Amino acid sequence: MKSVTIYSAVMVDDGAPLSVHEMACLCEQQIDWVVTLVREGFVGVERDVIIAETSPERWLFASAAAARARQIARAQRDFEVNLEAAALMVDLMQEVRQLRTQLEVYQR
Amino acid sequence: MEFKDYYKILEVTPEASQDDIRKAYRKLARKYHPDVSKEKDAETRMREVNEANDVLRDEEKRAAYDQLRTNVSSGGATPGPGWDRGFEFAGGDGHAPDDAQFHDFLSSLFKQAERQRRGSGADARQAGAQQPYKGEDHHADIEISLEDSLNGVTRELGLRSVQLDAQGRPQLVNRTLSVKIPVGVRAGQMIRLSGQGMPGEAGGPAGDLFLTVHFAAHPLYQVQGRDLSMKLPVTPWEAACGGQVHVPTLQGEVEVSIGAGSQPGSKLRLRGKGLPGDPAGDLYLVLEVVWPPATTEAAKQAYQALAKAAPFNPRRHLGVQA
Repeated sequence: MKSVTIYSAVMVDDGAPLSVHEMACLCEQQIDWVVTLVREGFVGVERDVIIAETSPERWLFASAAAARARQIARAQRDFEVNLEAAALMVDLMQEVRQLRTQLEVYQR
Repeated sequence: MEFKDYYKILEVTPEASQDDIRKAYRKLARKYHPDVSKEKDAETRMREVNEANDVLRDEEKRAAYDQLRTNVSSGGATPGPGWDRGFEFAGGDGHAPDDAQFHDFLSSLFKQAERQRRGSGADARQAGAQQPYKGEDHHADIEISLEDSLNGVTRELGLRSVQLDAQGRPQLVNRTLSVKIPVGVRAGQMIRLSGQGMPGEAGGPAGDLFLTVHFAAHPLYQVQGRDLSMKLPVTPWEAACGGQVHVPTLQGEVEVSIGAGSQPGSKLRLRGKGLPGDPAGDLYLVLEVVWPPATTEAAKQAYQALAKAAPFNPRRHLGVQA
């Protein structure tokens, strides 16, 4: 009989948060880029740490921060804009998605 | 392996300047970016445009790609010797390639070349031995149903990655993983599979595989975070007089009271009937009044009786008579 190995996935938001290295890797960016993102307040870190007083090595990130960082990285790359503009675009895109979802309820 | 013409994808000629490529890319990015585009195949097209841009905007990658392109167009199935520091294409497996393969392969070659450069640098020479590197983390998307999130599910994932063979050459490897998706996961959340990314180098640990969860469109519910919304059809008499109606929820059928005088578009909230969590999400019901067709004489008479019993002008706010 063929044996199948089943791998259990763990939720990032349920005890397996991302490190700054993993964030950089997932966004295909350097660690410095993630550090800037956090220090400028575009994404938050877990556990309410004081950013200025904590080494980035100790920062932890939730799914939402990773998704937002990936979107910002993509917007920066796709539209060749600076970080501030990319973050603003991501905010507006998020709002558009929310409005579209609400609209779908009424259009069905 | 399918060869992709990146110049064609960016709608430029092979002689295009960097400025031409930048302009073409911007135009196509605006047209196909999945967050702003209304094109049906926007996501696929944007992926192709990004692939093309990644290679053609980098002088070194473009030169390597041009050499490969020349070889392919002159009938060779593999690039010439010595291109990109000795890497070569392995023989195809005879199966039709999908869109991602060519780019995956190119990307892996460039990343591998970069690792080699890094490994042959001054630091590495001083150390006298290759440093152990953790394997790269991989990322993929997975689509599950709302019911899968509610109950948990084990999914088979077909993954493709590039791994080094015994001679150190990158090879495309297809593998299947059975993955147990945790209960209660929501759209947009990431789940982690430890050690299922790329293998480490020189004894370094393997990377992790991250999966971002998406929900398949549900026939009844719209999802916002943990909350669900659903349009609930009610009859005119249920809306006007109130009543009890049955509503399907993810947790089973429930009975809901409709208040007298409810209007179309009114929202009812069923607390805790959304997705599970702490706190659980809510289910919002948006009322939609559905009128029975007047196809029988009895129905027509009933409508006429209603017109006499409850006369009103729905166009009064337009300033016109009934």
